Amino acid sequence: MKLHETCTTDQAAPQFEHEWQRRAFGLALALSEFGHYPWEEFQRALIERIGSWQDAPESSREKWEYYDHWVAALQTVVDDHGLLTAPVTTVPDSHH
Amino acid sequence: VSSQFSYPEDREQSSAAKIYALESLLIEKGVITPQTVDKVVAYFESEMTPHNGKKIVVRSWTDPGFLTRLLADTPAAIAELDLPDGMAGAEGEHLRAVANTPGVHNMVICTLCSCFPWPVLGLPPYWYKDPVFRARAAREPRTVLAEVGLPLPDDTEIRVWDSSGTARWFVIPERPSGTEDFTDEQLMDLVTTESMMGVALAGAPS
Repeated sequence: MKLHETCTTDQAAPQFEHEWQRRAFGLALALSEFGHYPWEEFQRALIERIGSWQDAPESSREKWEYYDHWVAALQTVVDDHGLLTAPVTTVPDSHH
Repeated sequence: VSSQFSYPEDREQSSAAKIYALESLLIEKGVITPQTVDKVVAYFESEMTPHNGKKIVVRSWTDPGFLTRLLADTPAAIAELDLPDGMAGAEGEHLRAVANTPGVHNMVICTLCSCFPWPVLGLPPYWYKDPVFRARAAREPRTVLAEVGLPLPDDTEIRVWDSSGTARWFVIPERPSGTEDFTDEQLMDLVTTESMMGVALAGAPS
């Protein structure tokens, strides 16, 4: 199997193919930067997801799509840290 | 077979829907603001680019003492340069440089996920994350390099560096001959992202 053609040129500049991939990237990074989880934890989740994809027989696994694994890993760490179940943070507002 | 062609589009929509929903919920919860994701990505896109890696390579070419320090303690040597803040943040602290020398060629891969040296090379090209590329580059680097346009002599040793969560490798390519009189700016033009991944040489025609 040949490599992707963009492999041989500098045109392979880092890019997102779709806006949702850009947002998935930024969201994972932002949550880590703001201390909701250590980056290493997200990486471990991503490695686990990709590892189980690689270990699955070719006949039964889905087509390779890097950002699908990224999204799944992000959901894992968000769940593990209860970011969606924690009480809503309210900004103090004297008008209410 | 037709289902194999229609499936990815559904899955694509599903992943996109999940990520937009997740972002909305996190905004609603007050965990992030509607501007957070754009700010973080914009910072990466504007500051964490191959421009940083090019500066590091050119300094290594023009200052042998810097190269020695870079290979011994990459983050400390990078801190000497005037590069954007945040270089030491996400990913930056694990940067490790290796230098090509006559007879030794280095190539960077990540066999498990995509541990790419963002701060110096920017975000990885899409093909870098392809499992076929990763697996084959680990198994038969000489063949893979020849396929991407870099056939190496049989007596050139190829070292493949497998990046991980704690070691983000990048390559200092060899300075092309005939560039003794080049300015730093001219030298920077010779350095490509691919050359810093070890899948091309510096100054090689693109």
